[in-house]
Amino acid sequence: MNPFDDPQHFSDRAQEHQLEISEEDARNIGSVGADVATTYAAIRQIDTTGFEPAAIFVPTPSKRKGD
Amino acid sequence: MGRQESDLTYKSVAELAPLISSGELSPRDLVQASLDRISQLDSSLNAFLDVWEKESLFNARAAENEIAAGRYLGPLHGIPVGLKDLIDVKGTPTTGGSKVLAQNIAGSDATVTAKLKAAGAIIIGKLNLVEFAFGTTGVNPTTGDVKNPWNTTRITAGSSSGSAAAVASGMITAALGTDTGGSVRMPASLCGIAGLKPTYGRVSRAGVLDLSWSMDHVGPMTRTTEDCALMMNVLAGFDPRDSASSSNTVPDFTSELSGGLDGLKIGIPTHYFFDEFVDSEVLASVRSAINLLEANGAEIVELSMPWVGKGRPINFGIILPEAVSIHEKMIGEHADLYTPAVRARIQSGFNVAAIDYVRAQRARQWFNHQMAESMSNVDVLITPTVPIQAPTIADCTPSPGKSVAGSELAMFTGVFDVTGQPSHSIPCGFTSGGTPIGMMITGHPFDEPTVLRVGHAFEQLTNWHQRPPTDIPVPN
Repeated sequence: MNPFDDPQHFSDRAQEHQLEISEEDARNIGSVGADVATTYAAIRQIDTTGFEPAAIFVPTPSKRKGD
Repeated sequence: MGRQESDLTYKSVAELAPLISSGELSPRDLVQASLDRISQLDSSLNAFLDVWEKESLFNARAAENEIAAGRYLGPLHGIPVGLKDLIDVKGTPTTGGSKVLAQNIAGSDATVTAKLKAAGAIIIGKLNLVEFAFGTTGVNPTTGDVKNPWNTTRITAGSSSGSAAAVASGMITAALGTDTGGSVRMPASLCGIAGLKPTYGRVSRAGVLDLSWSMDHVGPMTRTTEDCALMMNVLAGFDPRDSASSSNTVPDFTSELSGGLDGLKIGIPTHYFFDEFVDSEVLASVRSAINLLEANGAEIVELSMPWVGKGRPINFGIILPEAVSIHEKMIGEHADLYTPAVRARIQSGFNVAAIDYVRAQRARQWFNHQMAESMSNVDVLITPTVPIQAPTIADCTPSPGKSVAGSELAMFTGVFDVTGQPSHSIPCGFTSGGTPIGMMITGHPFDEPTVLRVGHAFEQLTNWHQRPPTDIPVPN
């Protein structure tokens, strides 16, 4: 079972973080959980070999190349 | 609503500044007009969380005296502005739109607040938002939903919902918002105003509540592109209080506004942004805008970007664990004070594996590489800002067993929070239902001047940005 759909897993994690999860919260988390699962599934499909971030992200100035 | 007052409150910074500097318009009269409009309209729109009437009038009088004494500070002197309630103003609450921080009084000004004050801007008050900026619709059960000035049954989008509604309705001339997945540009688009997300690191976030430290940006929301440039001239620059602040040279953001379109290459992605799932009226308006830019000198270049749809998952995949990390302590102590939807978003993040966050960060590097390669032969990209028309507030309000509308809102904007590129939304049309449509102009990192040049050129060719909403209900 995907951990995002597993109520027991949520309950364990909640206890670990000393959170109280109400029934309503569990329902809400369940619906958000599907989005979360889809998000990371999409990311897992990317081949990121060679793209290890070395430091905090800072954009590099760039311009259009000459024609 | 008096026509004269309405005319005054709908003027841009660029129109008001010469009137103020010459003494033709008193900052007191302008601020009073702004306060009057807030008192007439805000009960319908719910854009403000706090309005500082006495302090604003006091500061306006001080501005008037300074200007009369020959000490004019520049285009923002005497201009009424509002701040999203994530941004600190010394001695006043910064609540993040949440009960959790109801008693949180700022000990000092955020850097952007200090800069606006030093430029003579009159800070009128604090603006409503999605709780902790963690959401895209503008719905907030704690502070009340912000209504779209063009149709008060519809959302503004968020999270800078109050900022957009206040500027679009003429209650203030300019505002600050923040943008982590699109929270400046989405509400700018749906409310028919200009909103710029600057390059990551260009504007300090010191004194601004975090949502996701590697994605958060602070940006101006105004009536025109030129006003965004004027705001950026005050806001931009290195700040040692912000660890991600850039020491790159700060240009004059107005310097290229009049450069026109000749010689510019505009990239149009052939994937994702113009696909079938995008609303047909949105597509037609943005395509029409592109045709207009081409007819007036820009070269249009189609770009194949089959990977670009991964941008929003990477955006959300990084925001979520960073937001959880920021909220871990507070939610442990005050879970009952969070609204259920935001609490659920944060709690779902406790379940994200460390490896998934690391994967997302690596994917971000990969994504930025793809974007830089694709844009190496163009100056800017143009796309729709959001793929849908503004949904109703009712459809975006969570309730048990109901699927909430608006999940598509950040599909396009989030892409450029990942890359940190400057990205600007301006109005480019209206739906048949009468709500605004926005197009997004995105440039190379630290090249805001070219982005603003394209936006300004488009505004010189059209009048979408000059149309105020006319049917805002005024309570009896």
